[in-house]
Amino acid sequence: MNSIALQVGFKDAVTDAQQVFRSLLKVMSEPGVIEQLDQTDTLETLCPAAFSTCLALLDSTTRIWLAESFDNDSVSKNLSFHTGCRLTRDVSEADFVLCRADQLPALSQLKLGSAEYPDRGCTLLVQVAQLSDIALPGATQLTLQGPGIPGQRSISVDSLPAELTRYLTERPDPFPLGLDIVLLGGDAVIAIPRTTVVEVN
Amino acid sequence: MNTSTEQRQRWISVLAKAPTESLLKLSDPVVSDMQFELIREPEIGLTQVRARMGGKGDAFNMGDMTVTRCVVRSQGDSLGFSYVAGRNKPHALRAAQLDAMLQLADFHQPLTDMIIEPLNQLMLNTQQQKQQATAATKVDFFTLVRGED
Repeated sequence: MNSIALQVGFKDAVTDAQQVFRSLLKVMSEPGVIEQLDQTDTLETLCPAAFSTCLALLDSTTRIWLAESFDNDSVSKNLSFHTGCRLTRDVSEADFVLCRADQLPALSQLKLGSAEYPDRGCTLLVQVAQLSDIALPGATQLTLQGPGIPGQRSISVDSLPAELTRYLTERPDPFPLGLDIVLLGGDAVIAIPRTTVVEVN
Repeated sequence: MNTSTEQRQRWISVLAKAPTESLLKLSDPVVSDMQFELIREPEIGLTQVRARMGGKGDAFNMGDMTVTRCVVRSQGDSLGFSYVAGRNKPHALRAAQLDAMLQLADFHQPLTDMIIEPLNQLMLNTQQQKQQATAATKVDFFTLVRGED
């Protein structure tokens, strides 16, 4: 009858949303720091960290673009039910892009904001296989430097796509324009904002 | 079970508008032995009421009203929704539970007979009484021509 299975989002809507938002604020301001987001269950192919992040950040004024692996009824219905967000097919007007590491959209098409309003750029939510602050075998090791990092921090990202690595190291967009990237793996989250200088080891 | 949109609209409307005490009293025995999963806990919010001048003019914002909404899933895997005017969480929860149960073939007919029809009748009676009470106070105005011209 109800062919689309709606799923419970946050168990305790107010405190969970606040905790997730606080964690996201922390990882954004201290790039390379890992926070745990396990306030929700897995939604279809969406890991708990990604689902929590979506619930905390999306609302009726934000447009989200879903990559192929997430563009199914279950994910889109649940996201629009819980957050009221608008889905878009046009990646260039999306405020948030949610994708799996192997299905990145063309990064040059994403919204960058303007010099007056650099905050209107797109935030890229990328679900990767695994994240860690210790070196994972076979994973990409990144060294981060910049605001919010005392000295430098190293992170290890399993299945980081080459296109994203290239974007992070080359930073083609003129500052203050640029993409803020949130990496989500299982129930871990790391953010790499546009101010961070990235080197591949 | 196949129910038409009109049927469902009708029972959702009855459940939302029914007086809370009568709704809870009638449905307590039915709901007590069912399990429900809360998809969206009863929550209170504001909604903007829009209207049209004379029913056909341009839309304008008439004002805000409080609404309580709730979504539950029944054991039979049906989803029950409710939107109730005002701040009334128990009412919204019960209306959502009953909406979920009314979509199940086993419960539809008994619930319609035991809850929806009595509530509908109750509201019709209340409305009729009010209309009669109002009609009794009707005053007819007769205007006398004053002949000033």
